Amino acid sequence: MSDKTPYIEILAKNNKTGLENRKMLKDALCINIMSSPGAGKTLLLTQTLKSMAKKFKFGIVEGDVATSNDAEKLKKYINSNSVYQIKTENYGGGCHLDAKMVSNAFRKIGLPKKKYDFVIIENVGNLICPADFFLGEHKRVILLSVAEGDDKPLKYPVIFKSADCVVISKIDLLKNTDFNLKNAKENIRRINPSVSILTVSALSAKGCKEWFDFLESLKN
Amino acid sequence: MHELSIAEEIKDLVFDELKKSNCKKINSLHLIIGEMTSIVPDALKMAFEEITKGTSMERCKIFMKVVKTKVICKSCKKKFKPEDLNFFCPHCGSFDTEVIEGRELLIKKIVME
Repeated sequence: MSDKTPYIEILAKNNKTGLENRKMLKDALCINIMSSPGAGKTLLLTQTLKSMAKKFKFGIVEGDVATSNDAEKLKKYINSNSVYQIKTENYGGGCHLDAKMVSNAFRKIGLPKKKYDFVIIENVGNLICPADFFLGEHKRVILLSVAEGDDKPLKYPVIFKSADCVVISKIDLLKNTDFNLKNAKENIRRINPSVSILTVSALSAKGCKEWFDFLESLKN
Repeated sequence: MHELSIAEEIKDLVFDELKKSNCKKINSLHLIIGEMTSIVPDALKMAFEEITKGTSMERCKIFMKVVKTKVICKSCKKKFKPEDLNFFCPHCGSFDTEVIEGRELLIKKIVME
């Protein structure tokens, strides 16, 4: 009988591929956007491309279990070769993106040859599983929609802890819910004291300017 | 249910170790799982048993040690285990804290024969 005591890092392979993905990006800034399903990630990206795609070159990687709906929506605003949809059902129906899927997606949008300013990965809607998988991103943005309740960060602390920015989305719904913006911000800060917090309605465009400015500031 | 992906990673890693050795089968596997990985030990065990059926890992015993989250306060330097994963310091109230344990996802020991 043999006892191996190697202390092997289980996600080492994923993390290594993530670092290789980062090398493929060259000067592009990569953002991994995560949230629960339906928090408004795609609409926020739509507004982002509408406003910023003239000045900056965007690559988009979409992640969903099934359909290319989101990629199709975004192809209206940038070159369709710069948008790629990952369908995790092709990888066994995963509830998250991993670095290998993203590596393939990066090649599909022309990396490492093509030059981008921003590469945005819209992860599968899920507040648990995506948190463990480094994809090569430089920054993590988590959306928390008003419809979800202001205590969400306390219920899913791990993913909120990993965020560089939390965007409170769908603020046009504030008047229709008991969502307390002050409590939400306090709850986010309990988990992640130094995180940037923005409030946005991608539907009415309220707060979008601050989001665009935030993205631009990351490039400087 | 990212436990299935994690189980696949473990299976590949253990197979690699088995190939490197002169052994033929895996008897037991000892894992260290940090609380902040959000992994449910029973779900990981079930996924692992399912994907190793018919392999040299079938019926291998899995032992998991779950590591509680531990945080250090950068202001008062005291260490604490956060209740409900709220990360502010219970000693001085500071929010300037850093996770030092609880993110582990490790294979500690593979016992083969």
